[in-house]
Amino acid sequence: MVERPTTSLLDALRDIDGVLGSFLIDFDGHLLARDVPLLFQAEALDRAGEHVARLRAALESEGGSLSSCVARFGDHLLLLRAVGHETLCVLCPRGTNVPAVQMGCTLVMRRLHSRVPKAASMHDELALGGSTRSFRGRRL
Amino acid sequence: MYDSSERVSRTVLKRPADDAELPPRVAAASPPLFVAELPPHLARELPPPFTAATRDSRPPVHEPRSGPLRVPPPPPPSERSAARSRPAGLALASVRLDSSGAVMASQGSVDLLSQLVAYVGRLAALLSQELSLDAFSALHAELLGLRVVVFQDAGELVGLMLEPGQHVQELRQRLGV
Repeated sequence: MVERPTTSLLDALRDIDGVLGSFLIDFDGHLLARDVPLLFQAEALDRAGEHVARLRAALESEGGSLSSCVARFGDHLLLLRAVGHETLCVLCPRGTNVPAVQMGCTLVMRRLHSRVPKAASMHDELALGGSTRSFRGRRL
Repeated sequence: MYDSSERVSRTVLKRPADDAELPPRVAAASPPLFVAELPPHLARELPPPFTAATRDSRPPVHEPRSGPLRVPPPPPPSERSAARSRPAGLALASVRLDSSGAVMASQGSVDLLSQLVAYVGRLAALLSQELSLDAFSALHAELLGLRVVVFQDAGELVGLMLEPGQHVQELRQRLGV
């Protein structure tokens, strides 16, 4: 489930003061990578991933694709950055430099997609289906 | 549920000095002038207005010469607070939901927005439990050419659909998201 290179990418987010941890989920909310304190149990994180995926799906139900999202829970923030079918979730306290975290998320997602192109193309395959990916017998 | 300024206006409308000019019996039977503001079922329970038989020869003090005095009824409190939370003219749609998801007030097309806000509120509550965080306060989402803001306000959920702009940044600062 957790890929070592991906986890090291997430680790880069901790360069920003205040970031408590981050995790990456796929379109269905399955955990792809995590870099969170051991305080967070794996089961709880799995469930949270599923709920984040549903949150993203709900927000995109209005038609537009989600770019980013910030949710505040008292003194903590949960930042979401959606790229392709993956969603990066970052947990940090209020007062964290949110623009810096968002830039960090952008870079992480960019590097992630450049490192694991297979994952992205696999998701595209699943999302688009076979019929829409061919034209006059040719595979697009 | 009226605020203090409305209570003041009612006091002014009642005009106690005019009451003093009437015979005691007539003054006691006079309905207050804000009857028009009350819901019909409450207005029916008030004493009936005095008739010509109970009047003296003077023109009625409580009836304005140019027709009945009418004060526009104040909006319900929920609508007033929704208006307070909405930057005037900038929200494409806004909705206020109670804890059961019922629409308390709305503006614009809110069919989907009300469902979205209710669902987001529920998911956020689940996320706060799973990640051991405090209760959900607010959310800001950037969609393609659209911003969605959801926040808790006095136990109710308020959802706004906005166009991107400076006002969204101000709202985000106020909500801390």
